Amino acid sequence: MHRFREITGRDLRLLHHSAVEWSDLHEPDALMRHFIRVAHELLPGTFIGWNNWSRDMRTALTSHSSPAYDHAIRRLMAPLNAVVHHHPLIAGGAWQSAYQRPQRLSDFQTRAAFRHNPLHHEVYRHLDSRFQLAFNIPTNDEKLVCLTWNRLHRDFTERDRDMLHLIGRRLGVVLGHLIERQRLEQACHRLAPQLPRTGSNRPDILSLNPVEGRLLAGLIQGKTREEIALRLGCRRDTLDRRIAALRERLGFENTHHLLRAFNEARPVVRSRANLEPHG
Amino acid sequence: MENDFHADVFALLLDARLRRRNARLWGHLLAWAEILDSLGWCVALKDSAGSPILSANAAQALAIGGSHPVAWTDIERHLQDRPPAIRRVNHHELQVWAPVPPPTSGPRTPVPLTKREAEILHWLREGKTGPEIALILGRANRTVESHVARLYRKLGFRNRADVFLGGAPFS
Repeated sequence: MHRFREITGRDLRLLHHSAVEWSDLHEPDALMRHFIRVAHELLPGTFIGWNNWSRDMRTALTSHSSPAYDHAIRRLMAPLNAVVHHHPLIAGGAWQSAYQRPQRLSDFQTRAAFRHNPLHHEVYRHLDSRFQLAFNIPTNDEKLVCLTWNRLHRDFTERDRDMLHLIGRRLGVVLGHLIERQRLEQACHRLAPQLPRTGSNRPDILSLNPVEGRLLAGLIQGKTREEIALRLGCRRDTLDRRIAALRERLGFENTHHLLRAFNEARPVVRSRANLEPHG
Repeated sequence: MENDFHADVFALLLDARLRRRNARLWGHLLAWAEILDSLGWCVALKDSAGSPILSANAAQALAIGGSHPVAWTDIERHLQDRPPAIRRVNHHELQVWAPVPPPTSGPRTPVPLTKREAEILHWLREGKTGPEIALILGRANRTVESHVARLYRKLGFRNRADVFLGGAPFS
């Protein structure tokens, strides 16, 4: 296991404070924008990029950076894709090692040799990037995020590499959960119109927890209260109280009204006999 | 060494905090999926690993040769090849549908109800209690009770919930 020997307690506190801020955000794009704004405070760099790539790192999909370089990188996306195979990590087949640990460009090609690299000529020199540190973060959707720190005047040290490693790991954790959250919110948004109406409105999809769902499902299925209480592992009087609270929360006068309202959400399907042609 | 320990503990706590938040959202989805299933719908949700989570009706509807689809794409393909009677949600994260009901053996014989029984059934479905119905109809409680008992026997109701559920979903 890698030990972060170069990282101080102060570095950790700064990073942890940032990670807590990231975890309060609600969606991946918000995280990306926030990260771009604060990245320089964690690890100084000239041009810091949040780059979305295809999983096989053959195509750079989008790239985001600070306002000073954002316009330039958008303009350079097509040339980047044309010459990206010249990147020393990709050309050397070593880009997957950027998942395990940040990779320093100068470890693969000297500064003098890189000056003659088409990637430097077409793209990097326009972004003040002579030295680079890159770290890949796999995501749970179809792309990967490649964080790149770039500098014009000085190369990255082992301490910088450790710092990016920690930044990338924390960011990966937060990003993974935000992508999952976005996915779940989309599913909630799709499911909400299918919920049975309670009065003139539909209930808030966040209004029920799994136990309440099981309780209501039991009532709808016609189970007795004793059966439902047994299934939920609670006493009969506890169940009665829960039903009353639920009924009130959903806005019904009594359980019969509640069941009637939910019954209206059943699918109405003609039997197969009626669907078949006559004659 | 100490910094590594603190870094690992922090990472675990951060992960646990974010996981709990998403677990609550997932819980809400499952709660409503169970309710929709009890109403007769089939619901398929995709979990974080991309695997399908099927409601009881969905599992039954999708079972082919005794086995269930293991991949989400299998479900989408199944629904494409055998279109359901109603497809309410067709999304790469969520599917809600009602299958075509099985063929009936013959025409259903309607259960004959007397005028009084039909009247009482109407008020039961309006959510009225026995004494309230007795008051409305100007009859004794005991009379209404015996009408209700006969109604339950005729229509196969076990309890008051069945009055609203009306028996099988596709009636």
